[in-house]
This record gives sequence, C-alpha cells and structure tokens, in this order.
Amino acid sequence: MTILERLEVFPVILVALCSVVLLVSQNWRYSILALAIQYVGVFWLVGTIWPFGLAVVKLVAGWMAGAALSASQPEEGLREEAAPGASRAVFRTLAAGLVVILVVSVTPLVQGFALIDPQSLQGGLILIGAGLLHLGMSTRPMRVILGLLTALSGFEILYAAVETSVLVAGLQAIITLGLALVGAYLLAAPGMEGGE
Amino acid sequence: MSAALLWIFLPGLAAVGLWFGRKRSGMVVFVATGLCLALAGLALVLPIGKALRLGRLLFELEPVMNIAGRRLVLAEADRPLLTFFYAIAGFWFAGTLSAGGHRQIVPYGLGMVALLVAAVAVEPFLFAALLIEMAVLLSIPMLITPGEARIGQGVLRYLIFQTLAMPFILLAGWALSGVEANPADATLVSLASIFLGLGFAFWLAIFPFYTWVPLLAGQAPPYAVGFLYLVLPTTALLLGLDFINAYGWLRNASQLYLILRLGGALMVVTAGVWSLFQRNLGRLFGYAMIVETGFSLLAVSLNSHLGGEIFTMIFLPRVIAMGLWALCSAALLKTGRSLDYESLERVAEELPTASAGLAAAVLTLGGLPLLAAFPIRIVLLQEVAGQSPLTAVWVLAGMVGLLFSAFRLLAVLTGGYFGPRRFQEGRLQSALIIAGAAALLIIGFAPRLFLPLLAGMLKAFTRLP
Repeated sequence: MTILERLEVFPVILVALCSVVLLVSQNWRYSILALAIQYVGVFWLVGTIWPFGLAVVKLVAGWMAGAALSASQPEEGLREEAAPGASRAVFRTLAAGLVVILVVSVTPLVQGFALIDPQSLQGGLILIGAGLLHLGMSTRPMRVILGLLTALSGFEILYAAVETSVLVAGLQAIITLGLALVGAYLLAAPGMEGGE
Repeated sequence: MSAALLWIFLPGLAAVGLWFGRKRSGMVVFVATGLCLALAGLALVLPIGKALRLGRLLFELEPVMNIAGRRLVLAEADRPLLTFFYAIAGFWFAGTLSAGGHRQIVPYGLGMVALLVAAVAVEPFLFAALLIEMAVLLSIPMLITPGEARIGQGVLRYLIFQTLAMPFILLAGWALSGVEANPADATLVSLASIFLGLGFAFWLAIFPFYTWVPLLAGQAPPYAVGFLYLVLPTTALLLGLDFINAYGWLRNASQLYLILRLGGALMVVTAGVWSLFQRNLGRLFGYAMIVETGFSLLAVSLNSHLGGEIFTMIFLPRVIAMGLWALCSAALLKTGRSLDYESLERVAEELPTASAGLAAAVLTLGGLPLLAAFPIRIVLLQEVAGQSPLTAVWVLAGMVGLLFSAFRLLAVLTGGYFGPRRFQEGRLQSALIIAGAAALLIIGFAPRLFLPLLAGMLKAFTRLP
C-alpha cells in the first residue's frame, strides 16, 4: 500500500472544501489558491490509480492553469453583479453540502458500474457536482472557467480509472491549459484595443 | 508522403504562421484562401493510396499516419469530405475582406478546420472528442471582438455546452470498447448509448441543449458565427454517421432512428415556432441553424440510401445560404447598425444588394419554393411522411414558422417599399452577394444538376444502407 493510499479520505475532504471555497469566494486570490489546492487533491486521487510520474501531469497542468488565470488579475470576471452578502455564501455552501450528501448516497449505486475505489469515485463526483453547480449559478467569465475546470478535473479522476494512456493524459492537460488561456482571453478582451 | 501531412499538419502549421502575421490582414486572407482552395483542389484530383507519376517523380499519398500508437486515417473515400471542408473554409476566408470583422478569424478558423479534419480522421475515435474540444477553444477568440465592453452570455454558454460534450464522448469510447469485447453486456450497451446520446446532444445542440445557439448568434460577429455553425455541426454530424457506420449494434437499433426522428422534429418545430417571435437578425440566424440541424437528423433517421443522399444534398444550399446570410449581416453591421429589427427598418433603401441577399438566404433556409433548399426538403418531408405522417405535419409546421419569420424580416427590410434605390454598396461585396443569391436561385431551378455534387461524401460510410 502506498502512502497516498493510506490517507485516502483526506483528498476527498480537500477537494470538497476547495470546491466550496471556489463557489463562495469573491476574491480572485483566494479562488486561485483554492484551485491550486484542489489540483493537489486531484493529483492525490489520480495518484492512487496512475503511476506518480503520470499523475503529476494533472498537478502541473492545474497549477499552470491557475497561473494563467491569475496573470489576468480576474477581479471583475469573478465578482457577481449583485452586492455580495452573507445569504449568498450560506446558500452556496448549503447547495454544495447537498451535492456532497447526494454523492455519498449514490456512491454504492455508481460503484456497481465503475471499477474504481470509493474515494476516487466520491472525489470525482463531488468535483463534477460542484463544477456543474458553479456553472449553473454563475454568469461571470472567470466563474464559468473555474466551474469548467472543476467539473473536468472531477471527470479526469473518474476517467483515470478506465484509461491510462499517456497521450490522453497529455491531451487532457492541453485542454486544461487551453481553458485557462481562453479564460484569460475572456478576461483581457474587454481591455484590448479593437482589431488586436 | 502521408495524406494527413498534407490535409492536417500543413494547414495547422499555416494557421500558426498566419497568426504571427495577422496584422497584415490582406496577406493573411490571400494565403489562407489560396491554401484552402489548393487543398480542396488537391483532394478533388489526387488519389490517396495509389501511386501517382508526375513526370519523373513517382509518389504516393499514404492514407495512414501513425502518431504515438494512434492513427490518422484519410482514405480515398474521404476525398469528397476533404474537398467539402477546405472549399467551405476557402470561400469563407475569401469573404472576410468584404465582411470585415477582426483579423483573428482567418488564422483561428484555419486552425479549427485542421483540428476538425484530424477529429474525423483519428483512430481510435475517442481522440476526436479531445480534438473537437481544442477546436472549440480555438474558436473563442473569433467570437469576441477585442475591446467589447462585456463578454456575452452566448459565448460562455457555447463554451460550457461544447466542453460538457467531451467527457460524455470519452466515456462512450470506454463503454464502446467494453461492448466490442462483450457484446452481450446489456449494461455496457445502455451506458454507451446514454453517453453517446448526451455527447452528441451537446455537440449538435440538440433539443433541449440549444439555448446557446440563438444567444451566441445574437451577440457575436455574424461572419465568425456563420463559419462556426457550419463547420462544427457538420463535423459532429459526420462523426455521428461514422459511429452508426462502425458499430453494428448501433446501426441495427431501431430505437436510434426513432430518437433521431423525434429529436430532429422537435428541433425543427420548436426553433421554427420560436423564430416567429424574434426581433433580432442574429437570433433568427441561430434558430435557422437549429432547424437545419433538425433536418439533418431527420435525414439520418430515415435509415435508407435515399436518407443518406438527402443528408449530403442538404449541405450545398445550407452552405451558400449561410454564407450569404453571414456576409449580408456583416455588411449591415459595417454601416453602424445593430441586427435588431428596429435598426434594420427600411434598410433596403440604402443597402439594396445586402437586403436582397439577406432575403434570398432567409427565404432559402425557410424552404420557399423555387429556391435551393426547397426540392430536397420536399423529398425529405415525403420520406418522413412515409414513416410517420404526424411527424411530417409537425415538421411542416416548423418550416412554415421559419418561412413566416422570413416574410416578416422582408417587411422590416423594405418597409413595404419596392421602388428604385440608390446604390451605395462596395463592388466586391455586391458581387459576392449577387453571386450567392444567383446560386441559390439557379440551384432551386435545376436541383438535379447541383445537389448530387456532394453525394460522394457517402463513400466513406460503406456499411450504411
């Protein structure tokens, strides 16, 4: 048993907490930090299935995506139009809590279809659920990109159990980076001069 | 030399080179158009997989190229498809000088086409999902005008829906490999069907996942949107046909054709009816595109050789009408107007050619008799009526809805005045618009001469009826 496998519940809690922070935060620095830590959790969960060298691709790609997004200082792209308030944060936290409860309750059912350990399954499903929740609740470009990155990283955990191809891992990393670059472009485009 | 090198890597590299030279827009358009038309021409004349002698030179275009254990296959049967893709791209890029817009369209568009051709060629097919996602990411800069104060919801929804397709297609790939190993496993067959269905529903913007289509068309530059709406659904439709061709259990599942018929009819009916309530030319364009995808699905649902022929014949009027629509919309925008109906009232008095071209395009997509799309729509409706008369009636209702919205647009453009006009438009723009409108009329008068031109695309799908 590897060290990663012994601490198997920790990354699930880590990704769940990070996804809640991403959902609630109105500060782009905290969001990027949460995204970076979330990718540590993703790397951890994928590392229990894939060899270390391959799993680390997820971490590097995720961190690079975070760096690309933070380079455009996405404050305006993150802040919702209505004034931020405690009720919004409470509502989003509760919604994320419902996602976690749903995931825990459906895990035994889904495990019948997928040959994957319960921790990776829960981690993947929580990220997919939180990502979709984020996409459903937000209209700001930065939030949409964060939601997509969250949902896709959840999918990547699940997909790691069925596909170990290096090429697929590489292409998925390119897409993660591409999404971040598109996000950076979406954030920077309003400030560009016409025709750039 | 490998065919993939010529039709995938060369345009891909050219796109990168043109991106660096994008500030010289005239040169970029000239090179991209020339390259695309040359590639289309080569696809038309060069055999793939056969030795060819040019003077002393003997060479062969190999159909298979191996990359990291995967294959890019462009066989002899794919030549009509390559001609189609690169001809569309060539003509579209040629129009950018007249249509205006920002200079990102050509390099990104060329890169997109290279990736989409790679998606059609790649084996195993699950890589197609990743390549199409890359093409989607590449398309985003085309849809946003730099300096625009706010990013529209259409672009964001487009990105979300297209990105969500990728996981489903990848999971479908996993399930399908399981089905190949164990065809009797009903659970895997069900999973594969669900994943494939959802993946294609997102890709093709099938009901109810099409909300982004009119939204994007109402917000983004029409010329870029037209290109996108043409190449992306076409690739997804061809990949879908390839799946049906490749997997016997899918090909023989009668429920598949029922679902396709239902999905296609729902798209035509809902989009046709919603188009009646639109007051923006861009949004109307989006609904017309949904109707077009619906007709393609209906053609596939026929599960017959004629259905396949109809599927390919639909493309020619669609390409010309969409190109004309996009060009005319761009011409209207260039005068400082928006695409809202309030802004377009009596615009025909100042821009008669663009208005006439727009009317020809909208009426063609609405299915007006004697225009290019009508003959093939009638055959399709007859065939659908043979299988399900009620569905045909609903589809006809959707078609009439789009046609009425076209008449309404005509009333907005002309304001009821059809007298002499002052000619104020550029010569190149007018020539392109007149050529497009004339093509729609000529095809409408002599459909048997032109519509079968694209039927060669069916050669790639050998197991279809």
